[in-house]
Amino acid sequence: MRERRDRDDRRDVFINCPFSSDYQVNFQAIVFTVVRSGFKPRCALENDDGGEIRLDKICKIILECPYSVHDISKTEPDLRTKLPRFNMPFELGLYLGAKRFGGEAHRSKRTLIFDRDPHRYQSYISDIAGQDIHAHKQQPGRLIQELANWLRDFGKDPKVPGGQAIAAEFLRFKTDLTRITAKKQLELSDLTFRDLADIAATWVLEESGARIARSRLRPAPPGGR
Amino acid sequence: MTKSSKSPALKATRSAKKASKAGASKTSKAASRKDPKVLGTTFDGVKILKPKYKATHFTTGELRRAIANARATRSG
Repeated sequence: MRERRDRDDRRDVFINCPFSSDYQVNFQAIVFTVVRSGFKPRCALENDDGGEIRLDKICKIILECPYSVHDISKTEPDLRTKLPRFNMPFELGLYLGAKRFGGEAHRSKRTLIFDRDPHRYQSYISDIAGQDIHAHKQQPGRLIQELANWLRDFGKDPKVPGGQAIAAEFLRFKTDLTRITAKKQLELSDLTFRDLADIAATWVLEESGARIARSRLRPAPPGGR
Repeated sequence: MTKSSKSPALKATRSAKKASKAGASKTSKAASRKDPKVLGTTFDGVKILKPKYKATHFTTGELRRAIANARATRSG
């Protein structure tokens, strides 16, 4: 019972999606929307501890996340290896397995699955029929709206802003993100998941004019530097 | 002094201490529950949670300065 209550307090969202460069904007959009909606993004890339077995790391994150977002839209073979990537369907299966076999503590896990078209998944992974499958049509704006609506609904949080408002903010964030990375002489592709999550959280609050309640923060010098 | 000869006042004090300890234990248990750490609240009331890990390539100060700079550039 206690475990269940603790888990219900959690707002961690497991993000299972392609990490390839052609998916970069959608990945940024998911992380931004999760942060802006008052949830905590989690992902297999969050901890680069080479000593930890990747599967153990993923299972630990899955255990800690009552919500999950999966994008299974990338089915094309890799240009170099000519083979498709199976990590996304595999991790989706792990999450659904945790929900089904993990006992009472994990029965209320929530899953949002994205594909590019509404019924496309039926041609390659028909076993997931009946799950909550949404189409993003490869458009970050649509993805943001679907995700925000889902978080508001299944997170039972009416404070989650409207998808269109978040999408508009995301466009400004994306513009600033390029400048933020350039300031540090980095490329967008150099940004880690940790960078992205921290930048998104700080940016949202700065943009909102909110006071950041983090003791390690000192006020930024006037006009920046 | 034997156990049986303890004064009622002493017993009451010990009992109160026990109760206090139990209370403290409950409080610490409640505090140890993993409530998400809030970084701040937006204008529309959304509590932005502290990320699980700090940024890899930025210190907190660098991040704030870079964000302030980018926003200032955007707004002209």
